[in-house]
Amino acid sequence: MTVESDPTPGCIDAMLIPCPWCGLRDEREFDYGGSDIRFPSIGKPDNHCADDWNDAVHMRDNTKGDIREIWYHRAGCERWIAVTRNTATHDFATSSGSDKTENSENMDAD
Amino acid sequence: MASARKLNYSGLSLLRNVLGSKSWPNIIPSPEPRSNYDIVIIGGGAHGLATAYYLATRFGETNVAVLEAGWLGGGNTARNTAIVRSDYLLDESFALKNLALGLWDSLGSELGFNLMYSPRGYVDLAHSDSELEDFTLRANAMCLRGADAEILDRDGLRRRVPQLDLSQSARFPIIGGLLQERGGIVRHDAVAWGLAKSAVDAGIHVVQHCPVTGLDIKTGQITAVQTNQGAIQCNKVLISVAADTSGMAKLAGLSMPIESINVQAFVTEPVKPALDVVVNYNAGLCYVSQTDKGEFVLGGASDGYPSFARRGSFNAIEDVVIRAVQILPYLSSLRLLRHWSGTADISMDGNAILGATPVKNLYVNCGWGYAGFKATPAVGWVMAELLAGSATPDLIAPFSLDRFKNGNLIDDSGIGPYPWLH
Repeated sequence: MTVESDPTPGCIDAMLIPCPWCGLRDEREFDYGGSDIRFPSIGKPDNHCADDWNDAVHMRDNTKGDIREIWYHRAGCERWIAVTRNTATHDFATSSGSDKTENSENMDAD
Repeated sequence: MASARKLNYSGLSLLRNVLGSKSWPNIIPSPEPRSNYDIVIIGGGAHGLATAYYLATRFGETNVAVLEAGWLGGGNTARNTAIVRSDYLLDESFALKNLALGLWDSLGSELGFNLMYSPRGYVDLAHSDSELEDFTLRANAMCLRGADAEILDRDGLRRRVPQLDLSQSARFPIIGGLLQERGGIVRHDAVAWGLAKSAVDAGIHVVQHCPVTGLDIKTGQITAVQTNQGAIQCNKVLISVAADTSGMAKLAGLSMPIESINVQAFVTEPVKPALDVVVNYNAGLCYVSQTDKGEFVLGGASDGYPSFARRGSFNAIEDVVIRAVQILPYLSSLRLLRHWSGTADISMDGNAILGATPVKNLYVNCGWGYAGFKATPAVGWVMAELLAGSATPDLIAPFSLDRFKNGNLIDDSGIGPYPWLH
């Protein structure tokens, strides 16, 4: 299931994170899960090289602007969400359910 | 030459400027950058300036420019909480910080600039047996390598820091601590000014308001940097721009194992001297010291997610203040006066990245997170050695960029590739 959320401007005090299920909630209710990383598939021999894994595990775009990342709504619906957040303004452009738990076997980069 | 207008400070010059001068002289001139340098250092923070200073004074390299996008002391150099110490567990991270601690000792007199270095002691507080055991491991490692470290029990803490709330009835009772008497604080913006002044006196160009907009690479080798004041040809380039490293590296087509994360600090209103030591609440982080002006300086953990906003989350402020009042209850009667943020460049093992990049003659110094200030003179020294010679100094060899691919991580806390947790 995917629930989308409207864009949310950044706030001056606490950051409010749009949860697709619970609405706009204080960042204190969430745990940060990092960039929305897609790991190389173990099953595909082509992807089995150290460079791919180094890129996925260690290398980051570290963009000043919109990034894709996941948060866990610990003190709320207890679900992972995937958001697009601007690292310069803390504006949220999109928010939806993450496939981290619902579809965790499907983490290949395609 | 820049050295023609050497500024010296004295009681007399202070009096003259207070009484007579219409405008205080600038600490350094504003030179037009030349079209060609041997070495260009991108980033005029304390690390870049220390590199330039040691290049000129120890390695005889004066055809050097430091290009600063903003102004001296506008970035992380003057946004940290000014603490210096070397209580690190792993050999590699200890070695650089302990070298720095030795250099801080004499840097002020060497520069002829008062850095207000105050080795007043640093105390890390433990709230559980396992935490104190961890401290003991760290203290033993430090002693074995010749640094000073002492484990204090509650009685020892009561004698050394009588201001602490050591009651058993506290919600999280303090059970002991690690003391490094040589730790302390250094006035951070004086470090930027003092290093810049001495580097300029030695003939180096420090150009402020000169952002680098491009890196020219020909056949895998850096040849020039593009700036808002035109192209500058150069033989070697050092990127020393902390949180902007990823953006700068992208200009060379490189990706870096770094995330930029907000870290906050605050000061209270000034009061009479009430704390003569630096105190850190290790579990969750809250570090407290009192400045010579009387303000208490407080800092804590990072905000916990990537941000370039230089604007803090309120919950991080709350976390720090709660811990500060737990350990030093008298702080509850003070008000916070000012609050600011810096953007820390935190790497995937929480340690610095120093040395060569895949682009020939392009070097990098980054990933210091919130540990950068204390290491300033040591970083300057080893990066100068690297840029002046051809061999990689032993002290920085373990901090190479390719350690992430090779699996030779230097992870003091054993956290893993989660920069927001380091």
